[in-house]
Amino acid sequence: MSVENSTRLIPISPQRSQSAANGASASWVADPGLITMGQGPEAEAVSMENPDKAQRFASEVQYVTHFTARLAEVLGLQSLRFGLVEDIDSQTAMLSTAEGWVGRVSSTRRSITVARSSLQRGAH
Amino acid sequence: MTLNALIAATAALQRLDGVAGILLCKAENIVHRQMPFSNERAAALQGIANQMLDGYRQVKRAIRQIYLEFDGGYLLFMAQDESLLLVMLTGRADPDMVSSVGGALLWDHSALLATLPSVASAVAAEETVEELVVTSPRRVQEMTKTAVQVTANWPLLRQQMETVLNRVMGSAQAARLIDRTLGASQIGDPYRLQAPQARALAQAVLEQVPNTGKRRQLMAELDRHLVAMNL
Repeated sequence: MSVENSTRLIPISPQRSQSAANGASASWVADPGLITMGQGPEAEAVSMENPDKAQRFASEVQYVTHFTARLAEVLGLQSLRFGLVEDIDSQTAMLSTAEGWVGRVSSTRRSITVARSSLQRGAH
Repeated sequence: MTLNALIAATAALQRLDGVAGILLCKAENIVHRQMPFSNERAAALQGIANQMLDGYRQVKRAIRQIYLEFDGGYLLFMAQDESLLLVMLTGRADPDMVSSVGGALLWDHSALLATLPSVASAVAAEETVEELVVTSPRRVQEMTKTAVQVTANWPLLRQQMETVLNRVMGSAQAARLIDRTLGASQIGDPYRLQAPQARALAQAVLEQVPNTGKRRQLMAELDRHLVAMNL
């Protein structure tokens, strides 16, 4: 997995998004790049270079997947493959892969196409 | 202040390649809706999008845009203050182009959007705003079938009447005669005349010519013009 300047790719498991709507908490496993979601009341244990970004990403995935499940139901769409949330300060991009969610939290604004292709390259 | 410029801008956005639908709202108030499904479904979509944005507002995050790529279609939300522009895209769309145009639309019309109410209007938006959004040749066919045939060539009809009347009176007198007859007929907008009404109006104008022989002659000439105009 590539590391790009000040930002990093953060993969999390599919279970994370599955359980997100149920209010599950997150835990970080030994691999500093890998995030898994666990059910239950255990607190998040973060072991990454930038825990703030990791936590932000996990929260973003949890929030976005909750609403996209509802949107997909209303519109008859399938599962979310890629998402990008941009506010005035930052941009969070998330890509669904076979291994789980891969994403990036960045203060740099990228185009949607560049953000997606960057994650696709990093995921392979 | 009218919404025409704003509606025209959203219609232009909709014409971009791969744009399948547009929803523009301010909080609960739907300003413009052109979605490929029912109004109820569009309202549900708006409700979920607003809930999502409200959640971000609660944590003091000013969201600019959210792009969601599903297996079966793409959604792009662009937000500014209370305004939300929601665009449904197909795989043919360039999301960055749509994002750029949509962002400019919200920015350019921010002053107008700020004046609009945030609560849902009692009258549906499409009942208050006249618009023409051409989405496909089939759609054009449907619109053509359902459209009421009107005399869109009123200036030409008037010119023909004046030409015929000029054979027996001056231009100013002919113009006044047409205006007087138009006023007496209580036709509000001559541009929306249907063909039979247009023909009746033209005949009513010539009825004012006192000489019977001249009137019949002018009537025959005008009749040829009316036939040429499909009236």
